[in-house]
Amino acid sequence: MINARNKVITLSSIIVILLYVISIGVGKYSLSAKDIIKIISNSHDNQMAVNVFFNLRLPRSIMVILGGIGLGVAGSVFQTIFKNPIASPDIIGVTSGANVGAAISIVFLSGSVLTVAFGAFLGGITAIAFVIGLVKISNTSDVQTYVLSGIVINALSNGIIMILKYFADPENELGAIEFWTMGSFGSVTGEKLRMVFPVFLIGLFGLILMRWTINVLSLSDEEGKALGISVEKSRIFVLLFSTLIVASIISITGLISFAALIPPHIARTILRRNDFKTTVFSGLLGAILMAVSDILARILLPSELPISIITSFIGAPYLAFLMFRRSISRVN
Amino acid sequence: MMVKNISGGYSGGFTLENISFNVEKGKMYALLGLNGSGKTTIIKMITGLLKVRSGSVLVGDKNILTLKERERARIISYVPQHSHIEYDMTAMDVVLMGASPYLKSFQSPGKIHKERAYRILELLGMEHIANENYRILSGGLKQMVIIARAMLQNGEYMILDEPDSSLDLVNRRSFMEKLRDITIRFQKGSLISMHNPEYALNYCDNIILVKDGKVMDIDLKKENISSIEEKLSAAYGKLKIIEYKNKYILYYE
Repeated sequence: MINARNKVITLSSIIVILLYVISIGVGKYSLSAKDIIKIISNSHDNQMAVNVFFNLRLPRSIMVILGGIGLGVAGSVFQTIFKNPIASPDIIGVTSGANVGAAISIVFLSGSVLTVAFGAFLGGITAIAFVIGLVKISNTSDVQTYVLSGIVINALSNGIIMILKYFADPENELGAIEFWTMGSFGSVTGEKLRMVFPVFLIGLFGLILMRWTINVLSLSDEEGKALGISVEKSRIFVLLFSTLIVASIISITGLISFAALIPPHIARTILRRNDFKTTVFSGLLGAILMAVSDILARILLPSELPISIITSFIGAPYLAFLMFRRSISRVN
Repeated sequence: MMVKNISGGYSGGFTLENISFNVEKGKMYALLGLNGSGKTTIIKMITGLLKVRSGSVLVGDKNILTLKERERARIISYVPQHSHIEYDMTAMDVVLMGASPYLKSFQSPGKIHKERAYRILELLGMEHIANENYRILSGGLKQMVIIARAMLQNGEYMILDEPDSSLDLVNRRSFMEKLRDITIRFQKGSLISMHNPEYALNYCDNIILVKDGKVMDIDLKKENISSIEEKLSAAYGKLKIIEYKNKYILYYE
């Protein structure tokens, strides 16, 4: 059983690596495997191909994989600590906070890609700070309180976004706000990647360190406490680390639908367990989903599609399939 | 363990005042009382899950209510009515959670903990279910897995909140027998809240009876049947204890 689990994880790692290589090659300016080998061994004579490789493809493909891993891991952690198979970082307002931050940067600041990324990141972190604050004020810190606080933040964010859209310049700004919510890896550059990478790593490293606590947090709060875990404090730390991951990704890519929701489901269904390995597997599945979606986004039409269009059309039918399968197993 | 004058409860709701009783090691205590008498409130207060307004729970010279969760978890193993396990998990993984209070920050259970957990499952005759999915086990086995978790947690005291509520007659009997065996063999002090006084009479050493916000300690090994009968009748209405083949049967008039 244990070995089978390791095999599944190894196999999916190999698929991730393959998709990573394919992802580097795909695009308007396509690079073949031969090109890539030549570029790496520093013997490619076409400077254009070399530039495309280092400035566009490499950062983009790295971000696609990191983004998939990050959202898959964060989704798995959220579903575990919220004891709810449909929980995702959206539930406590991280994404809508990031959306507000991005919209503010577009309307009031320069709207340059870097300020938007920075605004989105700050927005995500601010949202989670608000949620934790609300939970503290309410004096009850169970999971439901977090979900309710998330609903408050989501509603508030929606209101702010509507105001911003209402006053936004319909020629440029409105489109930019809308486009941001559809997500894309098209604007990833090496510079941006270098900016968010340390933040992403801190979040991921934090979650890896807290892996056992996360596991125990899947029990009821009372059981967790009785097993010696300081439940409230641990939950805040886990949420903060997850938020660092999610905010660092979507600040660059914009919103990506379903990418945190679906991988943990598949991971649990295949491994029939929910522990740290399931979270790792969920991250790998996230990377696979993201790489496939991003490749499709680039090749389906002559111009590139926003990534959320693809992830939504993969995610929604999959959720419907899950519901269908559940109803069948209930009948049997 | 000395529970001394604890008071507390839910703000604007149910409260209890000045509850005191002792739990000795190697003995099994039944916490009895009608619905709403405050059994669960008492259990939550002494396990530190519900803050007390005043009073203390002394183990040795330590007031365990002022300890950190982690230190308290090494002294008291708490067994909830149901364990909330939302996702698939092997019985072994569930038991391993009992190692939590002994892990350093950021540590996961290692080989030693796994061996220990396996030995406990063996001891309870359940090693064959170690790799089974906890969620599809029967109610009786689930409860025993949680007991195994409590044993790995290795608190000197085991506090169980109506552990038998989801068990059928046969499982309930074998559960109580195993619990008694563990209590005596490992010299644990066990406090179990339950509904049926008959099980208390047959398996426990003492009854802590909660009625009208007060507790009464009935020593089943010392007191005679008519005195026990009288005390139980005060809470449950007139009843008789009938002895049959070294077992006790309750007859409600």
